[in-house]
Amino acid sequence: MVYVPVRSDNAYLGFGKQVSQGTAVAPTVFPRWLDGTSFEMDLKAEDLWEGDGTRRLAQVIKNHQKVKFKHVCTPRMNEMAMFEQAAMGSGSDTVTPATVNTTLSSSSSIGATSISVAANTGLTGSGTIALILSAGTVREEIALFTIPATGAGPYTVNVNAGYNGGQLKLAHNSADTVQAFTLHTLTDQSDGSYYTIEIGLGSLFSGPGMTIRVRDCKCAVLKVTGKPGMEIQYESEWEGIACATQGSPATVTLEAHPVFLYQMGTWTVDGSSVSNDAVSVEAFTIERKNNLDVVQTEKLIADASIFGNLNCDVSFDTVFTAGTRFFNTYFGGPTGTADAQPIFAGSFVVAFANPDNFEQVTYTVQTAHYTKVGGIEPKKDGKHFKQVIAATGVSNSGANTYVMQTAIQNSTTTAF
Amino acid sequence: MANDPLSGLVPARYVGDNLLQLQPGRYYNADGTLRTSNIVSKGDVLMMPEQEIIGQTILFDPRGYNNPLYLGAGHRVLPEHQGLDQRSLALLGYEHHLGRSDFELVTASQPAIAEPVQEAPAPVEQAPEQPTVEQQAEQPETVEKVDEVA
Repeated sequence: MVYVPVRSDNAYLGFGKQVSQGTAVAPTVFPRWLDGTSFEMDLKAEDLWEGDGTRRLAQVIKNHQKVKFKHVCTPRMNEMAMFEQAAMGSGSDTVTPATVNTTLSSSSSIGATSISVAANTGLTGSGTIALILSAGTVREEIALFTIPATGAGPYTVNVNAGYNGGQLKLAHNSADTVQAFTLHTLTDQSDGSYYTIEIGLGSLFSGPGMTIRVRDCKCAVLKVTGKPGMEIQYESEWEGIACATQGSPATVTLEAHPVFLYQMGTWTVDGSSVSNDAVSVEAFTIERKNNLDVVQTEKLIADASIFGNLNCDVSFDTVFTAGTRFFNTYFGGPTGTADAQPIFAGSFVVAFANPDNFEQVTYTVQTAHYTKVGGIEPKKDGKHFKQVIAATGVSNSGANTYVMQTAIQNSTTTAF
Repeated sequence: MANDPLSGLVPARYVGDNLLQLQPGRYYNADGTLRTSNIVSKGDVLMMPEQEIIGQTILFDPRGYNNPLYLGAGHRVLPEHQGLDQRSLALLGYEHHLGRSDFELVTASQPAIAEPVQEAPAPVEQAPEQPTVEQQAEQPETVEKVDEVA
């Protein structure tokens, strides 16, 4: 018998934010998945042993069925905001509009050293500003400009010498948009938005596999990790309610922007960006768990799911140079000498800024209560001591308006 | 025609904010010609699967015993259920899926090619061993979006 196997990278996951519960949408965001991405039909069943005079199992009954996804990726700036919104919750995105939002008054050619714009709003200060030209088109280019703009309208803005020697790389058309970044500030909210997730397994390129669309998915866990020399990675876990097979796979569309790298990061630990710990972070993880509560009533599948209590855990490894953090965590202060009651409270902020000065993401755990400083272990391998630090994000007894905040600068002008 | 590559496709304009990159494959412009670039700019019109643009309707068995019935692209209701409000339709098992939010249907004329043969939509098989919902004796009517009865 002849059969055709399917290569295991013939797969995609697509996400679409639903307008309302129960109404699935076609996916629009297809983050490039990495190994570790998985899909599971979580079927709960029970054995039915009935007293029929035999020792035989009568049957197995399904109690509940739902879908679990795990998605691993290195998200681009707009995909990242989607994941953050899903994890933070409905209404979590506060948009600060771009300070510059105008158009080109005339076309510009490759190698142009300046552009002509219709309005100078946001271009009257001094210094430099990163602008995205012709956003969303094949001519899209993020370049650095020197301000203030000159002229009486239209206005001239010069390309900064720090960008490509002061010359544009691409040509741009008259009336193309000229915009600064849009800032999305996301904080944890009461409940999450529903998403539709579609997975194709072996169905792309006319493959014989399957495409399954799952509605009413919520983000259960979002983990952000970084290691030296690597991309910033997102690992999300989702739970969905109801499935429908699709006759054909979706049209997969990919975001055409760069990823964030670990070496783009700047750390501020406990308010300092210059302390030994802040300048020696060897790895970090920020994990948020929404502890979903899935509600099942009369049907095999759930009716709804809601966010439960929020857990926000931070862990980071630093180079051990002094006992200060250890004393702070266990002995009550930087020079403590014995077990002490008070919890050591600090904060954890890390910002990743793309060298284009446009794309940036900043993670802020405003109050972190340190619960562990470990890993300071003697070893005979000739390597350095390290500290493995664990902290929990808290509301500081309600004083803070959020446990965690993510601020993303990207090119999407509307709220996620 | 069975091999018509444009069968089931409709012209759709990209209205999102950001540049998109299509996964490698064959894509068509609104005039039916093959696209030479996988980059999609804001304003580009390309041929996309109809159900991705205008959504689709599936009628499920709420108790999960019978196979669901795929009613087709768009917002559809069987003749016997016309006039019911959204809540009633949902209780019957209707699931209306919306299309992509970053593309909009273009109502320009279709490319000048032979019209494909319209086939009745096949039921979506969810549990092959289960008895099927009665087969479609007629095409379900497409109605305007049903407003919820106050």
